[in-house]
Amino acid sequence: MNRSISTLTFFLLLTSAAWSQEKNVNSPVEPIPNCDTAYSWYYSVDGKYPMASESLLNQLSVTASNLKNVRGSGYITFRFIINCRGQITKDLEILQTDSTYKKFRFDQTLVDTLKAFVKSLDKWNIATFENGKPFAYRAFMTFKINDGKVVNIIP
Amino acid sequence: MMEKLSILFLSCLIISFSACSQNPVTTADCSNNHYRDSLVEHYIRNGAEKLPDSYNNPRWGLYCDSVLMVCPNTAEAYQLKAIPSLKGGDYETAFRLNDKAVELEPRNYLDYRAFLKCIFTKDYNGSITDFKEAEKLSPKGGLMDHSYSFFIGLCYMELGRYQDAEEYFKKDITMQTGGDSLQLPHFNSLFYTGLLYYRMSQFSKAKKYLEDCVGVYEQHPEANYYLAMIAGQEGNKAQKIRYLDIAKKALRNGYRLNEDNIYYANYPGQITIHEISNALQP
Repeated sequence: MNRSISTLTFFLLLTSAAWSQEKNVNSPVEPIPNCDTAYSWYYSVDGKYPMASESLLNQLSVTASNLKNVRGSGYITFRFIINCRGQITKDLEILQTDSTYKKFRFDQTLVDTLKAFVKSLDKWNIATFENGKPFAYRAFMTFKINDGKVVNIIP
Repeated sequence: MMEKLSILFLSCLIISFSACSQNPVTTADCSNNHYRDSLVEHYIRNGAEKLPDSYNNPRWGLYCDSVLMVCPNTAEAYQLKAIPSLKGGDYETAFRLNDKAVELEPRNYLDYRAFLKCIFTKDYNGSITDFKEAEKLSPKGGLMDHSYSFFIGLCYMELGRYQDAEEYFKKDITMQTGGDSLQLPHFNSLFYTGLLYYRMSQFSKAKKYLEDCVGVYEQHPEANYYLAMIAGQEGNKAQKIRYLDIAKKALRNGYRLNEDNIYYANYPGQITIHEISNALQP
């Protein structure tokens, strides 16, 4: 048992080390030249959007007040990168599930409205290395939907 | 993707070779808890958890898969594999894996899923259902420094079912103090009971609990903020500004609600400098 585990681990580490080297995925140590390359996640840099969920929801209600005849319950998540200038980069990944966390597709109008709202947020924290140099990080924003209405914003 | 596949392929190959080799090897006894624990110890404690960047390392999932490849009934490996997805907002993956952990070991993982639904995905009804089931399995259970009643109370409060929330917050406090009014419970039990009464517009009760909270944890940003809101309701502008200044200074100096998962998700009623600045505006 111990021998097979050791052999297995050895091969796993050997192959995955090569993989890691190839992908060059590392923790932030050196200053980075690329302002849009994420080196961390929002939670490692105290990077939740600096407003309470309730305040964000109030702000959204103004934008989303025109949405009618939208149905469905679940979650719409936008994942993106906050660059070294504290701006959302262009590409947003969109994940959608129903309320039981199974794949789902909401009305495109709702998705587009929420996407525009996320892109309008402009108070993201800027993450910095110990030497003060800014760097990009990954973040996300999820909208909890009940019967077509946004009832909560996560995180 | 190709790299992942080759790792899995190699691992399968090794297992096949081990099984066919002349040297006898112990067969995987996946029904044995100690055996499964030894796999977790080997691949997770001494492997995944020692990776640079821990669960943010791309290899984290591979270590979990190594356990699952040998024993697909190891609940802990599913729960651990879900962590990066959960903290990255991929709830489909996170809950598929956590559901599997719950299916395998409800006694150990049902309360954790209930917690995730309460704090991470704000699925308050789902969380209450899970916590009440968990309570049947472990009547005096708790997690993340709190009783199940604390979280059930939070969920009811967020659903606007204030009487139910009150019942569960009282239960949570009694569990901690044994009914002795001189004993102080966890500061966040006091804070959330205060917040509940604030939302019920029972300001004198709210004030009492929030003051008890700052008596234990003076810089509690939210307790000071809601005390300011009550002072505002009472028309005491000077007191309101005093509490808001304390809250603002506390946040700027890094004081928080002090809950384990606060960096990943906002807790109910959590505030930021933005709300304080708004409240300070004339």
